[in-house]
Amino acid sequence: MRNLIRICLISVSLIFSVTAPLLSATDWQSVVDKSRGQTVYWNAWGGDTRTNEFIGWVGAQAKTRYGLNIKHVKLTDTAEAVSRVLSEKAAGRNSNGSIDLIWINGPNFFSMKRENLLFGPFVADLPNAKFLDLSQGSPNTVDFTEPVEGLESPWRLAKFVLIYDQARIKEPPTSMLKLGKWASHNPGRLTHPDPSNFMGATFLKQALLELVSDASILQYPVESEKQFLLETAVLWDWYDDMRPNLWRKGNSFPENESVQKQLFNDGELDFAMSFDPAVAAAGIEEGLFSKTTRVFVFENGTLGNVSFVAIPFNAANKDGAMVVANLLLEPKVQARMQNIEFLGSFTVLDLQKLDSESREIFDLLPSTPALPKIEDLGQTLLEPHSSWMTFLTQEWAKRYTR
Amino acid sequence: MSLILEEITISLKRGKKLIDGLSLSVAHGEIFTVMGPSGSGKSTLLDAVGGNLGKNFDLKGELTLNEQDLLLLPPEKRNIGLLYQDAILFPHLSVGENLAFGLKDKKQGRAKRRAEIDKALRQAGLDGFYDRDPATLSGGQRSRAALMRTLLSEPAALLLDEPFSKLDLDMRDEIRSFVFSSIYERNIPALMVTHDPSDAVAANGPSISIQVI
Amino acid sequence: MRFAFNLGNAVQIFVFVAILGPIFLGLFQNVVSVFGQKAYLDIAGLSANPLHTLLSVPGLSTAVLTSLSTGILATVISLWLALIFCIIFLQKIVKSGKLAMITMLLSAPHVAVAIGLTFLIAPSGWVFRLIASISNFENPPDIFTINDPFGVSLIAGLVVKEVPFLIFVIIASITQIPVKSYLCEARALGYDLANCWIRIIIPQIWPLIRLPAFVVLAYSLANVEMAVVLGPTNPPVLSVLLMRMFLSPDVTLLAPASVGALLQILLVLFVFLVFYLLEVLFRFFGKIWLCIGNRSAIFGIIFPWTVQFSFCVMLLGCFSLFLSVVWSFSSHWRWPSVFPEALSFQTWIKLAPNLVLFLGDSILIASLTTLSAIIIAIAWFQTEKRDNAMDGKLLPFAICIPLFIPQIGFLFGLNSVFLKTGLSGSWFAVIWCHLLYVFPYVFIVMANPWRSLDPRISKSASALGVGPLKQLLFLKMPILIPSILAASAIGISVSIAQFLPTLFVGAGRISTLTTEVIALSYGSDRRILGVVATLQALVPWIAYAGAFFISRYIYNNRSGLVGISQ
Repeated sequence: MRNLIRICLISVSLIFSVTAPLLSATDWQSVVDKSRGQTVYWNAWGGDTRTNEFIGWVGAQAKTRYGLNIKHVKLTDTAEAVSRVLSEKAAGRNSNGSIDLIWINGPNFFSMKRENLLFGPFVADLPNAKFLDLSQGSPNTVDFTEPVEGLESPWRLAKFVLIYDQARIKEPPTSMLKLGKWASHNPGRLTHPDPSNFMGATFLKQALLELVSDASILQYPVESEKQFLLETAVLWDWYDDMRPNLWRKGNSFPENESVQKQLFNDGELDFAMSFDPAVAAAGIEEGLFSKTTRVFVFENGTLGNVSFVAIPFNAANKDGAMVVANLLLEPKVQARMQNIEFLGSFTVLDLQKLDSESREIFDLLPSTPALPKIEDLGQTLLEPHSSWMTFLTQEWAKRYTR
Repeated sequence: MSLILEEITISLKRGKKLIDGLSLSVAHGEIFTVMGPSGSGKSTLLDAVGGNLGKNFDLKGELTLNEQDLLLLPPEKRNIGLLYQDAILFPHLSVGENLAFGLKDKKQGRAKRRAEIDKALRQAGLDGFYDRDPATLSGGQRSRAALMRTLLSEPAALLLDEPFSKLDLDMRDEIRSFVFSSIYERNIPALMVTHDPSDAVAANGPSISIQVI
Repeated sequence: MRFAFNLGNAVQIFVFVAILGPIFLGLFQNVVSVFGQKAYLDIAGLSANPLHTLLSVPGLSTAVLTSLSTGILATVISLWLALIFCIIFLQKIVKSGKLAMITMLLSAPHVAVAIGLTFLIAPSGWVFRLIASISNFENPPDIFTINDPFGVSLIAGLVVKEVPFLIFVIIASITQIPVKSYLCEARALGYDLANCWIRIIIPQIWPLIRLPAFVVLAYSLANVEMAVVLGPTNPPVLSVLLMRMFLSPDVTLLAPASVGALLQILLVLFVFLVFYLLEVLFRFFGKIWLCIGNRSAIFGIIFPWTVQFSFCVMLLGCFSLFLSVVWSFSSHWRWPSVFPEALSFQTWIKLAPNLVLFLGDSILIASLTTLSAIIIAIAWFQTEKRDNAMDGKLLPFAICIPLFIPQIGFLFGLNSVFLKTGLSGSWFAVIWCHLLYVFPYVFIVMANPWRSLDPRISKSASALGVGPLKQLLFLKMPILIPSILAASAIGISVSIAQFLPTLFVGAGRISTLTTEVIALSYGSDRRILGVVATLQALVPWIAYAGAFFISRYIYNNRSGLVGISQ
């Protein structure tokens, strides 16, 4: 009964969040005009070379097409940008802030939204938003169960995949439970990034989704520590069993997914993790992975979410930031992003909404054996409410950081 | 015959000779004086005997002390004491500690060692100077302290490098007779280089002159 | 003492405000954010006691303990190795190859060395590839060779980097002592070489190298850049733990992190105190030990081994740097290949457009910082009164204070102040923060040659009617060019290596080679990391080499000038 009320409340908020475009075409033109000559400081995680190169390419596009500069501020963790905006707010710097655009989602978005650190809603103002499926409940409108409400604009799809080498592993495990069992037969060959990192937390969430008695409760905020401990007891039992079989006996963890990827690449690990389904194909292309590297997902599906860009409330160059957000939704830009030769990340656009010419660009994109088809990626599991992630991370640190 | 130099030749590596075929012998209780102007290689000769010759020198000949061949021994194994014109006391130690540093560790026990050092200080006219900072001593006091430190290490021979040249004239005789009498008393051979003829006279022993080659 | 207002005092006051002001501001802001949280951020959940929150951070006690053990051990080991290296250095003529090795490690930033070391000693690094190629294990071993929980690899990294620095410092201080005659004297008393050094020379060197040794100690206890790459991870050392808290999106952690920053400072001061007490104890018992006349040869046996070990340590460091270069040029180099499967310029070419930006910004910041430091130092020397007692000891010490205060202890607080004044993220603020670390070195390098400049030069110029400014520009500066060049080289290398000042105060808008290297050290492509680490090590090295050759050129033509080797 309580759940029903919750669902109703969320639906209502979702309906309100779908707003009609606020700016007319001429207004948008004035945004574009104002953005000319601005330098947009785009704070984006810098741990992936191909993403960095793609951002660089977008910068070149923005320069030639709109006369604005993009400066990629490479973060080791998106949280850095959030805390920077926070300290700016704390210091009373309410305009002319140092960050114009952040690659963001999940808990970072949640905390910025909660602290009113975001500019907007602005998504509906972007001319290219018409290519997006913004209907209620679509992945573009809910970020980790948190309604987006036009405060962040999608740009790429993320889906939790595992990386393995066909030459080393014949048949990858098909679930978290089986992965844990695999580790007991192959001690020291499996690990996950540190849970203080997004990817490490995702590993725990994925496991929790499989192990918890009723996965639907994860869609609501954690009610109490007691409830959390009760629901996650099964997770910790499983984890305690598996931990001695992890890499370095579970006493140390790779800082993030990139470090894990490197360990995988060096043969220290047999699995790596990523939110980018094209990661294996891209790694082969870059000369990092062996040619037999592939990605796989679990039979009951894996977590998936959308990567967004958001504009801080005190951004110095809001117009430029909006132009960049809009540029990112351009079909040609999205097609280049999905092109395995450049980035290989799946588009957020609703292909049905494109004209046939644009759709054709997508149809003609090259493919490689290591690149999964959308249908190979299985079911997408909904991200739990971000409070679960916070609790999981804290509890993990409490238990295993000595 | 105890300290014997035979056909000692010292030259710079691939360079000129400083000492050419010098032979001499110093008996116990005897002070042998080597005279010569500066640049004649006097100090180099002492470095050779003491084992402090730099790597850029070549040394040929024989060198024995009480029938023991010295040439291959490091300075600390030669058992030869040094006394320079600048009497060197270690600045981080008090006068008494400087002497204690020299005193052989055959003498065990704090009280015994302290008594030994106090005795030496008394002999040197430095009674009650145990805790003094060496920097506060006069030139003559420093010389005597340095000599006592050397003697406490019970050397089998002594090298004196212009030991009195930096002292004031009025002190020179006093210190000289103190040093010389200490040498006679311990009956060890001593080799002294100097350019002051009065040193040679006072030493009352054999002497030779060397010239710049 | 008279405090009449004159130009000299004005310059000194300016330097104090510029160098110490930011530290006090940062510390003050820390205290404010601890006690006055409400003013800091008016957000729910801040009611908890920050000290309590800090203490409940998982792994805090381990973090403090590993900070202490790695910092102290690294310092003691570095000191020991450096001293013994210098002992041998003075005995034998050290080959110029070994000197080049020292200079290379001395100029390379800590991070570049740390990255190089991971290339070398990680379980998939070069050493294990070599072992794998001769034995037949298939996968890299599942052992801790970097990021180990006890911080052994962190200690190794710190030692590799600090030994050359200390060697440099010790050699400079040894020249102030008539070592040779002390050695002759003590050896004639029957002590072997090793004993002479330990009993006679080292006790006299220590007061001269105490300050640099404490700089090493402070750095080892609280550095972030090496600990991030080589240190333990779960939990990390205190400084890294605090950096994570400061950068966490969870605002409730800011106040506890500020408490932690104060804790880090206290920790360093506490260790200083312990070292000081140890020194007192050593002096007391050392004298007793010296007075028993013991001449045992035990140290003579240990020394040669220690020297070989020092050489190995430095060789290790240089080889690590070399590995960075190899990685930057490799196109394929997968486990277990000992050598890259193919070499190419592709990574360099691919990164070139970006590199130009970082390189340009790094060099610009380094040059501007060094230039301002040199100008300030010259202003100081021009106006100082030699007879003032404070000039002798107190002032140089005060200038060095930034080198003793942990960066994590005040930089975040300082940035909060900068944010309020709108300075955060500006070039000015970043250069100012770099100046805190560049100025002390520039000052120390320039002080001796500048102060010992023959006063007759100035007098005879005055007699010829040449004014002070002309004297400075056309007489003093050309004469002292070698010292200015040396100061420039050191200034540039110090600035290039700064991480936290750029990260916190640069607000992410200003990125340098060092911030880039650390961001990439979390990445998965060693080739790219190799490129940036190589560049980062190369720039200071070029600065050193340039200064050396230019000053040697001048030196060769004007034999009356003082060389950089001083």
